[in-house]
Amino acid sequence: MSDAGGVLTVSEATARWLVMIERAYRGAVERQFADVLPLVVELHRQSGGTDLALRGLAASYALDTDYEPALRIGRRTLDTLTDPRATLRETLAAGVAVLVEEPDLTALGRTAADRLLPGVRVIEGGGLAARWPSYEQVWFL
Amino acid sequence: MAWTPPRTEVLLQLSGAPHQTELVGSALRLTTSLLDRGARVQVWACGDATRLTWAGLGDTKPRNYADWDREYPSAPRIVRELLTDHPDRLHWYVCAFCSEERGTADQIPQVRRRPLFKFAEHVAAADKCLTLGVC
Repeated sequence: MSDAGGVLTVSEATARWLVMIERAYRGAVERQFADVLPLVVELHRQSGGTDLALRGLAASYALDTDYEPALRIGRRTLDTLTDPRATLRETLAAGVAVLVEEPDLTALGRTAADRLLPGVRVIEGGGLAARWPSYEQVWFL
Repeated sequence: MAWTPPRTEVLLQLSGAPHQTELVGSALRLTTSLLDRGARVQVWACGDATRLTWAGLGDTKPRNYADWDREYPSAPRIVRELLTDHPDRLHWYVCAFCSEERGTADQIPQVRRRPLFKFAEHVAAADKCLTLGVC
């Protein structure tokens, strides 16, 4: 893989796995740490190499924000909610390549590209499916 | 004399399944906000929402391998604490049919299982009824 003009292109076949996440925000109160992103890290470890593509609303996982994931329920402040940005940073640190399609990023607002977490790569719109044959396996989670 | 549901300002019929959307969080936020304003609230959980107060989930979630010493409260514990804090103004009912059909009949003692054919009594006992999600 290589970056050309800020847009990622895939030039050769890879034995890596590709994980696609399109559905975001699946229950912060009941899931807490048991979200889908830690599973991606585990698949990365077991497969020997995994790329993660965030599509649709899940692309917002890749945007930096000052939102603190905490919620008051009655007298309890629940501060163990799902924190996709923090988990995505850990995912990147584990060596997972994180990809976001450009149109999904644009749909999140004019400043979205400026708030992209360091290390997240932008790919051209609609290009993911064309890359599927270059991966050993493609998973939708 | 037969038991009848206490009068409340609001009935929240919670039908949407947990672990799918932010519906459960929204329901608990709405419940908290109503209680903060002095309202009496009853929640009727149907379908997979009956799992929120399933005793089998215990008090805490399984350990997080990435943060071994941190404790994560389970959904039943969060609901139980909310009920304990508002003993006279919050009531949590679980549809008995749904809980048996979905394998969640073993509920925490703070909630009350009610037969499906009694649901209209709860609607009648509330000033307003709001349905959240679908079974």
